[in-house]
Amino acid sequence: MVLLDTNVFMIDRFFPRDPRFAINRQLLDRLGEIDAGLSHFSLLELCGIASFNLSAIELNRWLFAFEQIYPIRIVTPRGLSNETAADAWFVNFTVAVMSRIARQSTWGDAVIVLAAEEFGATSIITWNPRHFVGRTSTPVYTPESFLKAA
Amino acid sequence: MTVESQETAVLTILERLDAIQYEVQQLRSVVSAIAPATPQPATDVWQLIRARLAAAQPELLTMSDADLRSEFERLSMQAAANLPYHSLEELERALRGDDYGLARY
Repeated sequence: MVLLDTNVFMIDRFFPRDPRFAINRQLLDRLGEIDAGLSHFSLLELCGIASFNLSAIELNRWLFAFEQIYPIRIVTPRGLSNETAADAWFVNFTVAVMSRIARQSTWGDAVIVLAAEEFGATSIITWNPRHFVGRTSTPVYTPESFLKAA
Repeated sequence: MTVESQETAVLTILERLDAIQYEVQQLRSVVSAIAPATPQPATDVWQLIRARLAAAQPELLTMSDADLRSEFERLSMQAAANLPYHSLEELERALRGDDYGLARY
């Protein structure tokens, strides 16, 4: 199996004017002949980008239809298969992250919001507050503003 | 009531819904664990996730392959339109939280 990085799909879906678009497409047109995979986490990263201009319902549909377009394996963490409890946990985790991504968050930011909400954090401290404000009810501070407020 | 406080109230409701959904999922797991064992078809985790997506929108299961492709293309164009990044590199820098390329990689 060859593993495809997220940016191959970023160019194909979001940057049609990129100078690498044509050669990138040539590769994707051959996916039916290649045993190719994409990490589950890469797919969530793509969802995060798509979320900027899609509603939660639209994002759900986009993700569901992804494998209709690209004949690839979505690779989930190795060792999950046939372990029901772990499978269930991972499915629940993915759905929970997706609900945060649907608030127009990137994958990385969605994981932080999920952790803050699940653990009842009293605030999120970051140098990128604009990535979180309006996406969670947890108060967001920069280190500087947190120290001033404390 | 300010717009900000209304937004916070909506987000609080969404978070409560997420928490309730999570509890329901846990209860379902418990119920399925104590239910009589029945042979389950072999499946992979990604298909379980797709099944959950379809549970939220059952019409996805009745759409033809052509309809799903068409929907994906339409939504992709919508997602790409007005994307606030001019290039892949700019987007990747933003995803790293390094809008100005200070990390130089």
